[in-house]
Parts: sequence; structure tokens; C-alpha cells
Amino acid sequence: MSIDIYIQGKGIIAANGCEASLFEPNGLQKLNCVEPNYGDFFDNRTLRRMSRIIKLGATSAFMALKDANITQPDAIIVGTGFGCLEDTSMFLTKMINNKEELLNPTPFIFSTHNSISGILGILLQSNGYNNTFSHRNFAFESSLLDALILLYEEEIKVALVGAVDELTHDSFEILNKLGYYKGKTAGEGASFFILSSKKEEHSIAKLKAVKFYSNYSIDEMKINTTNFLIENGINKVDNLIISSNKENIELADAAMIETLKMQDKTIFFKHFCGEFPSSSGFAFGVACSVIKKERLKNILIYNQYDDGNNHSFILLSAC
Amino acid sequence: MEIFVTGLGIISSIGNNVEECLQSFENHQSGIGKIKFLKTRNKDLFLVGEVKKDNEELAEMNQIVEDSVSRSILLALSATKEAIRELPSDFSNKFRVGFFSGTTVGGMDKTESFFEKYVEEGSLKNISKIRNHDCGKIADYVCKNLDIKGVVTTLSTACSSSANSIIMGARMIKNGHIDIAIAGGADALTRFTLNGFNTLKILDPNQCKPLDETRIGLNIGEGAAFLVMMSDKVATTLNQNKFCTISGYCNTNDSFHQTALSENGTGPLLAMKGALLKSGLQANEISYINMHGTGTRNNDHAEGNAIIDLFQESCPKLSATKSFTGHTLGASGAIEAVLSVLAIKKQLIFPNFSFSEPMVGLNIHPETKFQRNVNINHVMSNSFGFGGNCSTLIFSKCQ
Repeated sequence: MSIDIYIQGKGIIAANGCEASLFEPNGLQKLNCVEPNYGDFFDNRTLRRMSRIIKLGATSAFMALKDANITQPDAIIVGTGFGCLEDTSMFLTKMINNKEELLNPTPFIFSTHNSISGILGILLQSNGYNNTFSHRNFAFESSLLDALILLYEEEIKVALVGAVDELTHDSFEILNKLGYYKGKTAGEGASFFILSSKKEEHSIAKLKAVKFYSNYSIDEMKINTTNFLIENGINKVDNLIISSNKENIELADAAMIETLKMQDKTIFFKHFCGEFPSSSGFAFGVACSVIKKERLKNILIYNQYDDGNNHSFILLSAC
Repeated sequence: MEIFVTGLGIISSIGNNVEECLQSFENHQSGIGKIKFLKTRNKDLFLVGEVKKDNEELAEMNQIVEDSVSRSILLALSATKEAIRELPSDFSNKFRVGFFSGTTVGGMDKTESFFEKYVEEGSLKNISKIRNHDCGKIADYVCKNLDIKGVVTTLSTACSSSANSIIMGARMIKNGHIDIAIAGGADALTRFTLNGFNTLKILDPNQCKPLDETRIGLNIGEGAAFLVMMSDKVATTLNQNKFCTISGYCNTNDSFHQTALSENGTGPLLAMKGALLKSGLQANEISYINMHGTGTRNNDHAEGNAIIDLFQESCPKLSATKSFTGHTLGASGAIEAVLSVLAIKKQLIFPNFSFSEPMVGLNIHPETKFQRNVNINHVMSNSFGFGGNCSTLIFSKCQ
């Protein structure tokens, strides 16, 4: 793992528009994406065949490609925590209302989690590596890890990697009732990035490491954190991004701030994009903006779910 | 670095473990039959490959009491337990472990039951049923239940999901991220998938006939399978039997259509070629191909074309075991990987259940009899899915 991996471009669609910016959208119960003009990216015929989550994902991916000046990535890797919820709901609803008769195949076809990476494969005419991860709050981290390993293996030169989740009427009703948004605002978003092992003039930062730890206690994470920093030759983290709201810091996040002594240098990002499983993609976008603008040496993103049972680190460092 | 397969676990319509599944093949007993447990109005319209236990029995088998646990989770638990039974109970404290699960619809069986009242009355009353809906819940639940620590993730590339989870596991060991990978997948039979595939008009109402000219579609199945993989060093330390190596793998995209393969099978050909290249083998060294072979007009034709293109005149022995298990969607890659490993471990070949007439213009003749004492050195296993996802795995006899 001696080669360096660089982030070459990004494409974000979030509640703040197409920037992973830290402007606070206030007082809303739901944070929906401010969607770009899709017509700038795709013709009408293509757009007609796209569901909303596919539009969000594909457009954000095309923004990242444009940002990095790449036309043909060697690998397409997409994360989605919940997948294509609108089409899933639609097919289920019709199935129940129509008593399992006379159903339209379209929502079923586009309900599959890999329809975003599949459409990207077709749009980019790419026969290369194509993968989709759907692992809850680590859907984005999993995709990033896959891309990182492919680049280490030198199987590919350029990876298009990102994540997308959509907020729908039914998903809000159901997740709200399940307590998923407790103390948080519901959200959605898409964030895609270009990674490669060649340093360019426009390279944003280095992606140093992605690691996750499932079924570890908050206590056990203290040792894991120290070891993670040692493994990556880091004495001190310049900035920490965590997944809590500023007003509502979860135990595992508070413990991490304490372990790293980052009380003054922590960025809370959830209230900018809302809660959704692949929101660490948005955090990665924030990290990309901050590391360059504030000339930091490194930034650590710490994400956790299930009350601090599953933990992940993403480490970026300056080029 | 060579990656060895040291553990296998499986549950499908032809058996609740490795031994039972093998026995069904030996007896030429297909698992395809009438729907017994799935609550659907189309019960009598289609044959399926249903696991021969209801949810209560599966829950009891796995000592699960919560009602919200999906059938996919129960199936995954069964297969994982069988796969890891030779490992010491504290293996994930002593080694770096990765758990890679593939699925297409996760906990959909419980979701569709919740949705009935939700759609009809707007009721959120049975909300706990939907708690385990998302794909990742299977892996998280299984790992929590079996106390497995480490890297846990889920892949969802339609019907190639668990082939990709096996690839991910092997690569993570190779790259020094983990010592032991438990990789596979699970999918339960649901109304969602049964009706979904029906809208595409690719279900055979009778026993499916993959690779046959008269084939008209697939039978949906259900099940789970997991493989344990590790390096030689870890296998020695843990005193594990090495069944075979995973010598090649490749993931490609057909880049043609959301639900159909290109006529020539561009993606499948690239996946098979890529896996061969990775393994360093020549095409004529492959002893047996476990085809994706779903029984649809489109898949079998495209896959057949790609195989002829690659192997030319020297086509290895091959078969489509979905004719026994049904198409288990996200679990199929892992179920067929388990069978591929068994083909090497036990030196045998699995047959097609039903075959009479070869596809017109394609020199593809599947094996029709279960054969023991065959010299099997290298097995290729294909898995393709919606979204153009194509993956090929190659397993090889230990040197």
C-alpha cells in the first residue's frame, strides 16, 4: 500500500444545492435536495427513463467526472443505504392494490439497488468493474474502500465512486415512526468522487485510509483509534468530522472527540444535509472543501451507527 | 498470495446443509415445487424453489425469538453457522475478520406484510416488521447474533450480489486488510420478486429447463450460502482443512440494458476472460462450468454465445444447477460457489435437472447425470444480473 490515492473531483447534490457547504438550512422537518437542472447533463429521452434517485446519483456522478476532467472511469462503484425507495414503494403499493395482478414492470426494474451503477455503466459505455454496496450507514465507506483497494491493486487507474439515498413520502413516514430521525432532520443526497493514483494540478487531497469496525464497543474504539493513527503515521488530527448534530451529540461521537482531544476542531455535519444512511458521502465532500480551503494537513471523518456499535474512519491528507 | 476456501454453509430448496444438498443431486431430486409457505395469490400459478421449512421452524433452528427477523436473516444465520463451525468460537477476537453479504431484497418478506395495512389503511401499526427491511440488516444481525467482529458490509448487484461479496472478501485478504473472510449471501422468496419477475414475463410456470431450446423462463428460489476464506498461514494456525483455492475472479458490466444481456454476451465474455487471466489458466484447463443458466431465453443464449466464443471447440463439461435450486437471486452466486467448491473437494460434477433439446446454433450440451470420481481441477462459476452486472469466479484444486 505504498502508492498514494488522490481525490480528483467531486459532485454533490444536497439540501444546500451542489456544494457540500456549511450553510444551515433552518427550521425544516425534511431537508430535500436542491436539484440541479438535469437538462444540463442529460437529454430528455434519457431523463424520461430515470427515476429521481437515478437522476440524483447519475447527475452527481457526471458532475464529479466533469470536475476531474474525466470521460471514462475504469470502475463505477455506488453505495446506497436504502436503495431505490420510491420505486420499491410504488411496486409494493400497486402489488397490494391490484391484488398481485396487472402490474407494470418499470418500478420493479428500477427498484434494484444496482440500478444507479447499472445506468452509469450504460451512460458511460463502460464494460469495466461495476459494483454496488448497500450496507446501511457504511454504504459510502464500503464503496470508497472497494475503490481504494482496486487502485492499490493497480487493477484500475481511475474510479468513479459515490453514494446516494432518497427521501420519499413513505420513507419519511416509516423511518420517522421507527425513531430513525430522533433529534435529527430527515435528509437525502448524492455525492460522487473521482479517485486515481496520479497526482494532478487540480487534485483535492489524498485519500489515506478507510477502515471500519463492526461490533466494537465505544471503549474498544479507544484502542482502535490509537492503532489507526499509528498505522497511518499520524500524530495529530487537524480536524475531525463526526456524524452527530451539534445540539445532540451522541455518546460514541462524544467519546471520539474526547479520545482525540478535538473539542475545538470538530465539524458536525448532519444538520447541513439531514439524516440519511450514506450521508458520510456528504461529510467526505465537506472534508474535501475544508482541507483545501483551510490548508490542513489532514482530516479524519468518524462515522458510527447502532448507538456506537459500528464505527468507521476515513482519513484524508493534503496533497 | 493464495486464498483458500476452508468452510462451507448452505441452505436451499434441496437441503438445509451441505450434506442434504449433495444428497439431492445424487438422487436427482429437484427442489422446485408448489408454493407451500409464501403467502401469495399466485400460489398455484408458479413453481418455486422454496426452502422446506417455515419461518417458525427456521427461527427455532437458530434460537431466534423476535418476530421481526426476516426470512433472509434466518436463512443467512443457518448458512453462516454451518460455514464457521470448524472455527474456534473466539476467532474474530484473535484474527481480523470480514463479513461480506450479498442480497437483492433484504427483509422484503416482512416489509410486504407491513405494507398491506400501510397501503390499505395508512396504518403504521406493525412498524416493527419493517425494522429489518434494508439489505445491510442481514449482515449486521448475523454478526451480532454470532458475535463476529470486524469489517461487515453488504453488496447488492442483483443476481450477482453474492459472487461479488466473495470477490470482495478474497481481495480484502489478498490486500492485507483482513485474515479471514466469511462471504456469501441470502435472499428469501417474496411476493415482491415473484410478481416482479412475472411482470417481465420470464417465469416458467412449470419446472424450468435451463440451456434447453424449449426453455421459457426461470423458477424463483430462495436460500443462503457462505464460504470461509483465508490465507495458507491462517489456515495452518487454525488447523483448517483447505478445500480449494479461489484462483480467479472478475467483475464486469455488459453496459447494454437494465434487465437483459447483449446478444453476444459481451459482459459475460469479459468476466470469464478476466477471471481466467487472473488465475493464469488457459481456457482448456477448466474442468467444469457452473453456468448462471437461469432458464430465460435471453440469459442462456447470451451466456452460451460467450462460452462458445471463449472455449471454441473445447467446451468443458457444464450445467445449470438452478434447475435444482431455482434462481435464488442474491444468494445464487454463493450457492453455486459452494457447489463449485464441492465439485473440486469431492471430485464430482453436478447435472442439469431437465434437459432434452440443445439450443439451436449453440454447441452447449449440459451434463445430465450426477458424476463422482471425475478429475476436477478448476471450476468456473458465472453470475450475472440486472444492471448489466457480470461476475465470474474460478476455484482450483490445492496444489
